[in-house]
Amino acid sequence: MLVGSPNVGKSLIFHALTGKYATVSNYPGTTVDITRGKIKGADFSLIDTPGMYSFIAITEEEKVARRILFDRPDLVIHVVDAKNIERMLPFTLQLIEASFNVILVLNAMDEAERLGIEIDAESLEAKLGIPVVKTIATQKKGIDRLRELIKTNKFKNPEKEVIKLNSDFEERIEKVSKLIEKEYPISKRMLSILALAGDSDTIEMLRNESNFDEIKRLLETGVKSYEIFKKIQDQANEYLEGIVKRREYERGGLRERITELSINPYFSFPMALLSLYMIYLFAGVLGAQILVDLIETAYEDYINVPLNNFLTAYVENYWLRELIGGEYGVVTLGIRYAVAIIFPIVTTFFIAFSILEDSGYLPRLAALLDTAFKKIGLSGRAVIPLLLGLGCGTMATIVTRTLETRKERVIATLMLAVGIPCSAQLGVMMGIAPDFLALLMWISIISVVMLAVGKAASKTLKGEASLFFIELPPLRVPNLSNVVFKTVTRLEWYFKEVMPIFVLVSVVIWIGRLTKVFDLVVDALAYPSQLIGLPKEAGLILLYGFFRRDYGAAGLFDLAAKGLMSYSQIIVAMVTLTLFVPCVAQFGVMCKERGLKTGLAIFFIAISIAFSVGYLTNVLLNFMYR
Amino acid sequence: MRERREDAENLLKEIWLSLHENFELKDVDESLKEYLIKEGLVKAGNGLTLTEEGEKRARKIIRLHRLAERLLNDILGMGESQIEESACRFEHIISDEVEEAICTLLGHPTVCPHGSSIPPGDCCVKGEREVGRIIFRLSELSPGDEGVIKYVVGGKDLSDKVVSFGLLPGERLKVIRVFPSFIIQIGNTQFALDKDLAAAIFVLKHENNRKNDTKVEEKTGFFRRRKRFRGK
Repeated sequence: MLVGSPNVGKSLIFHALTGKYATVSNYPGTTVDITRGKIKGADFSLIDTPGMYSFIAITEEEKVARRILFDRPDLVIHVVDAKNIERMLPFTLQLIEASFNVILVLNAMDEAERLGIEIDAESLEAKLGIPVVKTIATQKKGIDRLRELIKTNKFKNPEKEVIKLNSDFEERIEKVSKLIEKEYPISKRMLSILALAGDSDTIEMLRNESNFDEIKRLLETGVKSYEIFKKIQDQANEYLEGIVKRREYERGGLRERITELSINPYFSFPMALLSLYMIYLFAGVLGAQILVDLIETAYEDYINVPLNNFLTAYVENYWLRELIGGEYGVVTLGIRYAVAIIFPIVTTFFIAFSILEDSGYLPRLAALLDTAFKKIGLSGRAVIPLLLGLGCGTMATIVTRTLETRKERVIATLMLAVGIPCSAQLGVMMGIAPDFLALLMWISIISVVMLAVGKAASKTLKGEASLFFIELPPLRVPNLSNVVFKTVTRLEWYFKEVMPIFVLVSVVIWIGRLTKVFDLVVDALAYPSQLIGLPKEAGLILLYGFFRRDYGAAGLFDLAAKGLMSYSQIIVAMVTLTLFVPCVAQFGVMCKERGLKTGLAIFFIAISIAFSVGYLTNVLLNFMYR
Repeated sequence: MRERREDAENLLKEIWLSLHENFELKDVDESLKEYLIKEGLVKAGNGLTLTEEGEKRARKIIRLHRLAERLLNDILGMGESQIEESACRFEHIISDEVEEAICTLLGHPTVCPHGSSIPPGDCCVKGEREVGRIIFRLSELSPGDEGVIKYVVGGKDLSDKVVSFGLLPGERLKVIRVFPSFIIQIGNTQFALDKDLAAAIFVLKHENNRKNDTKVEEKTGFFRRRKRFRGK
């Protein structure tokens, strides 16, 4: 199993060893779920874990990683960022001390060397008594050696003591560990150290001990938890004495200049706008307009028309014909939406997002926006799920897990459900907006609503926004194969999710039409649609919209293209549909991640906001254009 | 063992008080007395007196106790009853580094909240010549400032978090930016953090970053700062 701080290259090493791709990015905290894979050329399975800094788990991801670690894997591969070995070695010591079978991987050696850092891996190996490998995961260097080491070291079970504290601490550690009777996944000594450091999870683990009361008394030392960790850090520094050499290196290269600019307050704001503009150009213009046009025309001409001709000629039964072709058929509607409208938009968005992610810019964006996000109860970290939400709200809702407090997770989920349009929607909105002014109105209305919702939510919900702390990785030139891989992985995920749903939705619509149930729902939705000044057909779109937000957006696209809506109607529809309930997939994930109650609450909040804001927009526009 | 050490330290403290501040010594535990004598801290004779080493140790304990009182009273605003109890625990566990940090933070106080004098420490002797502070909240620093993390103030959650991020006391850091978020560099890595977190981290500020001979460097540092403060 792979462990290590966030953003040290665990996922890249995972990929190099298994050929499978866990989400890799130059952004801390992207591995939300654990990924398993078989190591190529060896019959071992490997687990990739979310980042953890030490045994003390604070965020949800760290808790996940800790839980897996406590399942006692045969081998623990601790991946560290070579240039930051001083800060990361204490965890290596803790892992060894806890009696894990550890291999230490010094990754990103190229970056360390560029900074003039040399590490004597052999001496470190000798001092620590565990294998140490240097790797450059981005170039797959050192991976073969790692693979060999994994083979030869799989079943070792070392009992080593590498942490030696001063006698005062040692005395207490011994006292505590003697009182521990049961067996635990980590050594009693490490358990005692963690308990003495005041780690509440560890103390909770010891609760069933018969000597718990006595242990607890021993733990009341009044020592700050960092005293012990500081001692471990000191010891790590001792281990590294003479092993890490630093040379002066040339500063002021172009890379450093750009890196500096990216955190310069005067340049970072324009830079952020520029990066958003890049996403827009890519997904909004190239994807949503140029490519959609191209593919859709081709699809209509070469598939829809011949298919419908074929169906009319050979299939007698109207309903059977309608299932496959016609206006709402599986092929003519479901697959068309997926392939011709959604595919190009989502692909281009993911390419743009992957480039941004791989460059290491996103944490900087998070730092930039933190102050502003605090105002709506979020921290800068929320920029990732929210930005990802511009791609796919369902995926983004899962990623909200990386946020620290429940309050933040709920607010981010709410934002994603209410206001953040997914890439398909976004693209379609760009496409149907009659002019720039309309687009501007749409953006301002949505932004105001989002701010208001965020503000209100942060006032209503209990709890505090978490403290913001994030590592800023060095800016890197995005690696083409990384970007391609990431995009492909995300697309794969998206399509596994989206294709069946599109087909299913077509079938559901077909059944709905067949049984007339659908007409009832559409009629029911037609009333509020008309109330906000939309044509009757909009009810249908809102219903589609629930099955898949982008599906509804695509329907809107059709409706606008047919010229069935006036200028202000289009704006009202854009606003309402964006604010409307998220798609069925996102709704499902919402309920799963936040609980049914919260999920339903967000659902109804979204509907009420959509219609009331839609109504207000309609009134406002009628007033302006009359 | 640990309790014994604390008890012995308490007795040492009481003996010192009896010699310097009209404290009445009573109910002396014989075994503790023997222990202190064996350790070469106390001389028996006409009443109990302290050896040179004993005097030094006792002064230190008294100093820590009273500094702790000041800290709890002035900075944390605790009530009388809490202060006494906590201070009694503090005096046994504060390290030299923390002692200096507290003393400097408080501006080298000379009397405790009850009016008794606080025996001066090394930092006070040095500090008599300083005007400015050397311990700052990270949030008070400006870009380009460098320093060493000294301690973290806040609840257990907060200090756990800070520790798990690797922002341990003793780490050298450099402030890169303070707006819109704080950006600091530790070793070769930059971190962004918010103001609340930055306000909880106390840093001993250096004027320049020459690695060796920090003592000298600190002195020149003070000197410069004094000039600057006078200018204001």
